[in-house]
Amino acid sequence: MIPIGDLQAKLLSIGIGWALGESIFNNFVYNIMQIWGNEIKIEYITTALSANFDLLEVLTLVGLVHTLALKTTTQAMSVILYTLILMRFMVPVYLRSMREGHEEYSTWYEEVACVLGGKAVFAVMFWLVGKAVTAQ
Amino acid sequence: MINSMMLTFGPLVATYQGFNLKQFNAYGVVLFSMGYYTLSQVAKFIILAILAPLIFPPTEESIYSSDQEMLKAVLSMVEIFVLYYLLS
Repeated sequence: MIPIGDLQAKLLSIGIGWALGESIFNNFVYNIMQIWGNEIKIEYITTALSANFDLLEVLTLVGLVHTLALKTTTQAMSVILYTLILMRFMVPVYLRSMREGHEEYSTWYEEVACVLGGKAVFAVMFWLVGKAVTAQ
Repeated sequence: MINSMMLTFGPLVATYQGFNLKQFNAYGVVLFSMGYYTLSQVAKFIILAILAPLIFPPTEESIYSSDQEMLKAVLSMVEIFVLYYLLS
């Protein structure tokens, strides 16, 4: 187990609650739909896996918003924080437009690589940059 | 279905257990935060219904439009205001 302080516990709890809400709103109905279907689709797995990257993004987002809420940041830092927050909402739109623009995937792993790969790369980058910014 | 459920919600449980949030009695905060998320979604849906209503029956263009998606993403920032309010 990883030892954490009170503030970190509070931020983590808020992040987990937020990510849980997001998972229920975005994925739960999709998972329930599978009860009525007898086939397993690769979309179900990719959706479930992408929820993991959402968790990482949400935890980073909570850290960024908390840094903003402290109101002790410089103007330059605030601009970076706002840009990062904006990216969290805009990059998925860009990734989706790329996916929609692609007519047909020849293999299932090509689709997984495109959908999950893009999301994974963004989530990890977002976490690393967010961690560096909030550590300042 | 169970596999997908585990893949979706497993990491949340693992994070909760891994950081030992149980000792901080974090259940309340998690549920409180989830409630705030629900409120933000209700607010978002109301704004979306006003500003970007769905066209029915859907046409070829209305199934996926990048402008519509961009508007939805901008409106999703309602979440940030709620999160800011929650954290401050």
